[in-house]
Amino acid sequence: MPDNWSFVIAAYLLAAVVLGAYWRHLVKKERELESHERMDQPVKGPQSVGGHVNPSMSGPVNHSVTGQSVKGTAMNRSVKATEPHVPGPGHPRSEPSTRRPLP
Amino acid sequence: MNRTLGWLVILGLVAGLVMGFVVAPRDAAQGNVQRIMYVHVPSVLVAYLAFAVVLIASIVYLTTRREAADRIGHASAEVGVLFTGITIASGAIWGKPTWGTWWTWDARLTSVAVLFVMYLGYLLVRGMVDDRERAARYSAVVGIVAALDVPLVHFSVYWWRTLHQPPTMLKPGPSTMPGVFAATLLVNLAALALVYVFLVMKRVRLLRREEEALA
Repeated sequence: MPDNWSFVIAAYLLAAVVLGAYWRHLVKKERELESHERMDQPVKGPQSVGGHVNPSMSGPVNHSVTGQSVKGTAMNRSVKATEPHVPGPGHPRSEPSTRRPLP
Repeated sequence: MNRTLGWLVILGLVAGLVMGFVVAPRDAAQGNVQRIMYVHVPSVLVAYLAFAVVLIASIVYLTTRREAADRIGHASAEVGVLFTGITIASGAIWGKPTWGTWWTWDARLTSVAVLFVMYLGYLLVRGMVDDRERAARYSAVVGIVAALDVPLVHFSVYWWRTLHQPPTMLKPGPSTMPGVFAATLLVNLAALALVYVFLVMKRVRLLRREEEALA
């Protein structure tokens, strides 16, 4: 009978691929859980005390901070986007009587 | 503990490969293709072990409602399905050069396919029911019913006329296999059993953390 090495290699490779893929799946799940747990901590902390942060008042996002804080800010922005826009005091319009015509 | 077990798994797999490809001689009748036996037979035996654990965990869960038992059953079913898949695929690969076909509706092959589908159903039930307690209860019932197929798989080669050969292990009487073949098979069985324990332990830990994150 011929040796059929290709069949032997295929069987062993298949077993290795299946077990390896499952292992990778578990590792990926573990990393997701870890990042989820890390993300949960700052969201529960400052927001429950001080409410959400207004991005227009707090200035540009500092990307040098940890992923936790960036994630928290992004979440606040999504909340902000659903709220009606209220003009802040940052850009006061002059009264019509004080306006000068353009040259 | 986990790291030690990981190293033992690697050591066992390397030893199994060395035994299967270097120490064990070429089979006189089938040639080198017989080496598939060292992954096919241990895989099905580990799948039996996994489903026996699911059965025990399911009974324990239904009687005590311990969540740890449910987690062990869940993890063991997942890994058991993997090993059953490896058994079916490696058997098909072995069948082509020896029987001339990848698949035949033989009693052994069909009963293993049914076993595979039943435990896939077990995992589906878990995923389909939102309420955690109900999912655990339903899947425990499926886990007990599906285990009835394991003896059917094992004894199918005695009860029906099949193309598949009778068992080489877990059979009454002394082994008819030459020593070096049996030793290679046992080393590979030990290696895959270690892989099973390692994967189940990791999965159980992850399930516990998932539940804590959801709580």
